[in-house]
Amino acid sequence: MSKHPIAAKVLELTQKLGQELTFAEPSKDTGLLPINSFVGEMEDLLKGSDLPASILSAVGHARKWLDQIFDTTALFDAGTLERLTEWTSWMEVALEQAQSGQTLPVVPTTWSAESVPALPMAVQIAARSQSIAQELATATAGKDNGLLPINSYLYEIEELLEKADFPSAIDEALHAARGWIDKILDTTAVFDEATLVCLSDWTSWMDAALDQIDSSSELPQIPAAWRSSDAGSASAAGPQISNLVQQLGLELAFAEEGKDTGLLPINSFICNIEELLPRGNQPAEIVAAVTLARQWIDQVFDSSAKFDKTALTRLGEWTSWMEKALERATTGDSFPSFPAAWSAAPETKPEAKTVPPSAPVAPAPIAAPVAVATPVVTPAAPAPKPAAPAAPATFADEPALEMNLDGDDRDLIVGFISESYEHLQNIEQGVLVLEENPKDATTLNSIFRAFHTFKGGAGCCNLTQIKDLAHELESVLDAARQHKLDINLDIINVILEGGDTLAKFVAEIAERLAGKNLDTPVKIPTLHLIARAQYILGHGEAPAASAPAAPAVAASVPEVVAAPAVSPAPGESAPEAAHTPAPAPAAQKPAAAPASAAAPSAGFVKVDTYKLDALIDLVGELVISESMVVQDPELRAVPSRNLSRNLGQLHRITSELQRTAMSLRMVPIRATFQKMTRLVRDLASKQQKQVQLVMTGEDTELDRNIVEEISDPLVHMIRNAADHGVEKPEARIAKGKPAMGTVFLRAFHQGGNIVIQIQDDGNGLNKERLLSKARERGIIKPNETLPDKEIWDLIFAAGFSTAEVISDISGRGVGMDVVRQNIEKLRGKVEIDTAPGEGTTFTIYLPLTLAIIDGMIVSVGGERYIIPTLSVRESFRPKPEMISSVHERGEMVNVRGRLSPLLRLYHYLEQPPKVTDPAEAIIVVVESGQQTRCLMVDELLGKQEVVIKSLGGALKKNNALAGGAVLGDGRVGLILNVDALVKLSGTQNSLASGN
Amino acid sequence: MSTTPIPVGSAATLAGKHLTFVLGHECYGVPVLKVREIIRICDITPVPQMPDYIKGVLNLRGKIIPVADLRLKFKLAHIENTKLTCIVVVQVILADNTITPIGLIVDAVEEVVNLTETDIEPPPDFGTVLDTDYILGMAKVKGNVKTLLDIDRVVAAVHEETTVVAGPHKAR
Repeated sequence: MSKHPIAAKVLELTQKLGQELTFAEPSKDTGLLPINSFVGEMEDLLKGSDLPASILSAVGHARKWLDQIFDTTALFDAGTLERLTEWTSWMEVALEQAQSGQTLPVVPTTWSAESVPALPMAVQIAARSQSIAQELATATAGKDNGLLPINSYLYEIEELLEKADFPSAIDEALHAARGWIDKILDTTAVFDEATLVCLSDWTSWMDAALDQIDSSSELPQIPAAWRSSDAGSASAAGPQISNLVQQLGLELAFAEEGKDTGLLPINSFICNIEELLPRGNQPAEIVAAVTLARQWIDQVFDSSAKFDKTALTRLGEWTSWMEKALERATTGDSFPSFPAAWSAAPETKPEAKTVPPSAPVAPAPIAAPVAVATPVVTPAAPAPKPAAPAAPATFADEPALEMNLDGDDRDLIVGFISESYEHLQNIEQGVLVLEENPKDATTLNSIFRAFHTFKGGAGCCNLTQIKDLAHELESVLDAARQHKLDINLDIINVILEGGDTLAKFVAEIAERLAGKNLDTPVKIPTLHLIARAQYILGHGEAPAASAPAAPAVAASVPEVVAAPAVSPAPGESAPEAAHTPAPAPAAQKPAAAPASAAAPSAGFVKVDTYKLDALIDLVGELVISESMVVQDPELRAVPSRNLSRNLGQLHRITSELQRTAMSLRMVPIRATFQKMTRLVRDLASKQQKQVQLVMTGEDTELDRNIVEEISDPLVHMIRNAADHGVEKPEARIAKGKPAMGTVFLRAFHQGGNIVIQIQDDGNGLNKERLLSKARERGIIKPNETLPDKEIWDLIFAAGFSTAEVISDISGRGVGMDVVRQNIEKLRGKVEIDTAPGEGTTFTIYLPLTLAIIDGMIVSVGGERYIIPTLSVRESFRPKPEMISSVHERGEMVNVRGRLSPLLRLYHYLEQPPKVTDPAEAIIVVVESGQQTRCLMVDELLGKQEVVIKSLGGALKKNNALAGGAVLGDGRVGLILNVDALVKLSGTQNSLASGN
Repeated sequence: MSTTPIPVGSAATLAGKHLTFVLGHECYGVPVLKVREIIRICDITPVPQMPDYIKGVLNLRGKIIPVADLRLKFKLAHIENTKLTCIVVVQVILADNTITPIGLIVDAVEEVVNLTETDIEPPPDFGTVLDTDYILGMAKVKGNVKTLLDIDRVVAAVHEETTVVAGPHKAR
């Protein structure tokens, strides 16, 4: 033996590592895991050893490089490989000299240089930039060829940039490119000439700049034009608007006086134009013109919801003016003058026309000078429903909602319902924002528009109560929009309740549509809300006049307080003109209306999920057949450059297609997160706590199915965090924490997974209580103690969720076993981290999509099996002394001082193994919950994303198999279900030891 | 057993085209409408913890389907695959009324024959020697006798027998 047994071992590991390294290739991960484990073992060996510090620091360097790889792409790059090779030879020399007691070579200084990470990154970025250049070669103006690939390359570059320090010039350049692409995507979604030129300049600049980084000389200057945001594509909003104006003109041709044909389409065109306006600095004249058109349309909606002659003439004039103006805007000529009739009396004249003659006095008594400009509010304010003054509105008096589910209306209603979820969500979310910041004009406008569209849709479907309620709420918002009302808590509450009521209506109608409860009428009280809205309107305009007590009464007993309390508003004698003409004719024109109402934002298509799934399946097949063709040995033997180029092209297209197809299913988690805001708000106010919810990463995209499934567990956990985690304000202050508790809800990507984190700054879990509870319930033995992590996991145990647990200990327990089950069903896992008095963090790891898993491919006997990477902790080749057995039956592996049972996979899989000696096999350490098992396999073959398929209905489910996947060569590989394997080996071991 | 009603012995309902195939010296037939396709023997991935006649699963143009060896199912001697060995993919109706494909390994496929009512006789009674549950009838074609299989029943049996308990298998 040598003097330094440890040095000898490390040397041996270094040599093994060197062998693995010979198989490693840039941008693949072959050998990455073994190398990582070797370095891990070295670290373990070196701990506490007396080897020279330079060896320690060298291993530290290797660890750093590997960590970098894991943190970024999890693939080798050329730079790291080179350095690792250098490192191995250095280590070998150093270790040999350490054994013989000679002086060690010096650690190369380049290893610790700070610039280390930038180099391989630069290469990666350069690769992306070249790909963009390739895509650009096929892109043409007016088409969208290559747009999406370029977009995703840019995203990749952005991700890379975040991970390393690059000169700011590169950041800026990227920012410029991102701006151009975003603009294209937001507007026409096709390239224009200017952008193409910019982009190709950009790629050559990037190449040059990245070269300079390599040689660490001065970067080239960024072209100044890039810094200004309108690099040619800014004016893209112009054509978009003029396109919309033209479409509007077409609709207008069908509009008739006294009917509402085309009203909704025109409304949504104007909405779209309004949305486009902030982009690309449109001239003030155009903005003014659009504002005018918006006013006219609003007037039409607020009066009879039918066109009158004035409106039609004006809109006709307006379209031709807009067309001219937009043309001039592009050529740079001066604008045509505004027609005098518009600007002279756009506020008063149309109003006089649209408000029916029966209410001529309505605007006058209000006396507020601004009121003239707002035809919306004034008629609405003083108008209690005819029924209301007679008797206080009680539930019995509420009219049932009448609707016609059979005839033509059915389609309309279906469309309306499917749209309204989105609107209601917007409303609720917006109101919560308003609560924080009442002056937020954008949010106010968006809520207003949501109510507005909602009202329009309800009117179309003849759903009178819904329309009336939406109308009143909209009026309140409009008054706020025009600064006649200040948003206060009352208003927020009315609007929230209104939103809830509308949601109830929608839910009831949806039920009827599904054929349930057809006999019971939809009866939801609305009158009290309408009364409150009218009260607010009436008083909001003359805040000083009203008695201070009245609002409180109205808010607390809304059912009883009706017209009498509302009456003080002046001018109440005016009948509510807008309500009387039944909007029945609207239903006679179902064809155009729902489509346009359904598509307030152009550029979206609703697709049946079945078709989507079929498409994704087919794309999966295509990718597999593609790789079968590309990897065909006969084809590979053909020495044709042309062929290989074409195959490369095919590969690029299919993988892009796959990525796009997968992204079709991805939706941002925003909607699910936003539900939580309301939850926390309600919980906090109910419990007199102060809790704020801070969300980040709402735009993280997840598979649609996962988003749906994760919602319930999240509600549970957020509720627990706010309910049991965060303490009451007094208790918090006593502990020196701010009275306002915070719950963080985060979503982000981490190493191919989506991570959702729920963190509170509350009391944390109580270890002793959990343990005593577990002992009481017989989950653990009386004298048994557990490592901390396993104690926290106890809250996931079934039957741990009883009322007394929840109320006694600060910890959670409400259905946490269900939470964990749901997450595992999604092939995810959840971890807990807690510090007493400081809070608890739940971290949920989820796969990106349900259809695909990232798997480690192993071989046992002649077959290949797939182990989901999420469950794999590490893999290594064990030393004989690491294996120990109990009664010659149960075998254990000592993994860094922790024993975990060995499961010889070939027994279970009934495969004749290549090796039976664990020391010649590979151990894959897998975990399920806090349990780990060592799976013994013959070889590791690699890591791959596979599409999960069922094994076919004719075979009954084998729990230990999660399904099958078609591998690259067309054969089927079985996917192992680690959770079941862990349980399985548990029973095996207990049986073995019981014998 | 399966609850699907089967028209045992009703020759009229059995008349029609049948695909016939060979297992050892014997000839069998299945209604041609049940057959989805015939493929050559290919790589089959074994599935653990299944009865021995379940050979595993294969990739049929992206869909994973189970494969049963009819020889082993009918307890005939095992033989090596020949050039003629092939897999008949049939569509079967399971007890829960779902339709699913399954592959059956047979020694060789013969032909499609048109059977009339007069060609078909009810299954004979072998007493306890042989379970005739999944035999629909016997057909006489050109002097040969062919056994008509109720393929749903054959597979339903497969389905039930493959119910796996993920428990200790080969306790050591």
